[in-house]
Amino acid sequence: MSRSEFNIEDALAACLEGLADGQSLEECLARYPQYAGELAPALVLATRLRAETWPVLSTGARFRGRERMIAAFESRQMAGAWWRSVWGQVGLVLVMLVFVAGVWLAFPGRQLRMHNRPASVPGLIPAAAQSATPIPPAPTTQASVTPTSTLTPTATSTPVGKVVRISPIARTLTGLSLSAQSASADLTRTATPTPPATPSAVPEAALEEPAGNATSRPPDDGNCEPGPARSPEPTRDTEPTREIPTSEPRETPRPPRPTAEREPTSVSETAEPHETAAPPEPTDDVEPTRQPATNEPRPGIPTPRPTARPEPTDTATGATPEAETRQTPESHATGAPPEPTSGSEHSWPQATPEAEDHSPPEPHETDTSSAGAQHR
Amino acid sequence: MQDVCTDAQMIALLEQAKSGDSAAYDRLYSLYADKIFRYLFARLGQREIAEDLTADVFVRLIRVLPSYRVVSARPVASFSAWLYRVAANLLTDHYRRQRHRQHLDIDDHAESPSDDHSPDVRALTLEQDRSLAEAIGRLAEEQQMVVIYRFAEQCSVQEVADLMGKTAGAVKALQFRALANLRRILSPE
Repeated sequence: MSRSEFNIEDALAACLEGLADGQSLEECLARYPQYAGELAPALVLATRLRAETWPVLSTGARFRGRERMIAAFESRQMAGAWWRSVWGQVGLVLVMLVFVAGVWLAFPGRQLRMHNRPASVPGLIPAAAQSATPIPPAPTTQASVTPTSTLTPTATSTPVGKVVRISPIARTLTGLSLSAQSASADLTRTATPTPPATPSAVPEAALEEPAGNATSRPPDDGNCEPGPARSPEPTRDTEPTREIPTSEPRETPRPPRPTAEREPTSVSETAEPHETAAPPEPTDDVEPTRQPATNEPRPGIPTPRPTARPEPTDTATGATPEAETRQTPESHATGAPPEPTSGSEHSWPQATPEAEDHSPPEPHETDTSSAGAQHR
Repeated sequence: MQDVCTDAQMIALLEQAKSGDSAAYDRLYSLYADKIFRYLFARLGQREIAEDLTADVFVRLIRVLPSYRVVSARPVASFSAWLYRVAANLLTDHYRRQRHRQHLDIDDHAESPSDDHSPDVRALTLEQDRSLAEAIGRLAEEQQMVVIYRFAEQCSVQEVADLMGKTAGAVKALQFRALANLRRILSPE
């Protein structure tokens, strides 16, 4: 059966082709007589199907269908255009963002902040350096030392001008504390002005200015040699200046001679001062004073304070020891730094030993007396 | 099958349509609108629905043609088969919607003239030549396709084979079985 059917299928296909070509049904069946009985009804049905009028789209339906297609086409085109515009806008925005990001990254400061957080430190350094010029630790340390030096100059200067003022006050107040306070106030005043003039050269002028206010400046200038050296340091830290005042009274006693000597010493104490102090006169005065003192050990009492002695050791760049050595013996002898103010006031030269006494202000009076007596 | 155009022309026409040429779409509509309608009418038996679905086929064509890959070997047959496939998918969607409606209506008395076959038969029964349409509707889908291609579209065996993706021998067998089944259906016995 399968074979015959397969053959019938081929015969049917061939007969349908013959009918399509215009052959008659009999002619086709005559070619396949063995399948004529089965092929005849199939061929009749096939002829009927072909003769059937298959429906066709009506004119209206054709027109409507075409319109729908065109409308869909246009809407799609518009949608595509809209999407294009949207994507175009998105692309434009992205381009702008990229540009902005590029500018952001290109900006040096931004870069440092953005990328170089670890490296940002160096980047920040400049800014910090600007604002922190006073801040830098090293300078501050120096400043800590310098305050003493700054004080010393004031002290040197104070002797002349301040002495006049302070001495009466101290006497009346019966305490060097008061004098010290006043001195500290003066110093703070003097010191405060200095800060603005951070530059090494400026500080000197600044110191001079306050001195002028204090009226003792001229002598300070003479003695101020240390001052200039101080100037750089004190200008920055106000604190040191505050601390200094306390020391000033102590130092002020020094003035007698030590002031001149000490000032240098003080200046010398501060590493910077030496260099700056190197300038004209003061250096000369200081140095000679130092040399004699230098012979003695330099425990490193950079600042006039006795307490500072241990500290100065660090900063005591060499010149300080001299002053200390001188001072120490005296202070030890006197046992206290009393006189500084009074002694300095009355007799700068006399007070030289006293000036050595960096000990607190209170003892100054007693010290001054004793010190002056001793020296004399 | 009446060749709407040569393979080269079909390739150019499809490329133009894909590039967004409205004239190319209009040309494709003119070539295939009647064929698709006949195919749909033969399976549906309802002129209005067949017409609407025919329009839907070409609307969908605009959407999917850009993604169509032109076959250089047999561009006409390939595109025709692909377009008929689109129409068949739309017809399937139509049947699904129709079934859903019937379930919603809960019309238990609705008689289906030929429950043993697809709903196409029900549609065909609505046409004037109900006997022939009903008989075609009772055929299997492949046999229906062969009958439509071979007698409605006047396609050759090879063309039907190309459209259906079958061999010529398979198409001949399907043709023979379809005619035998139609004869049984149409014969009173």
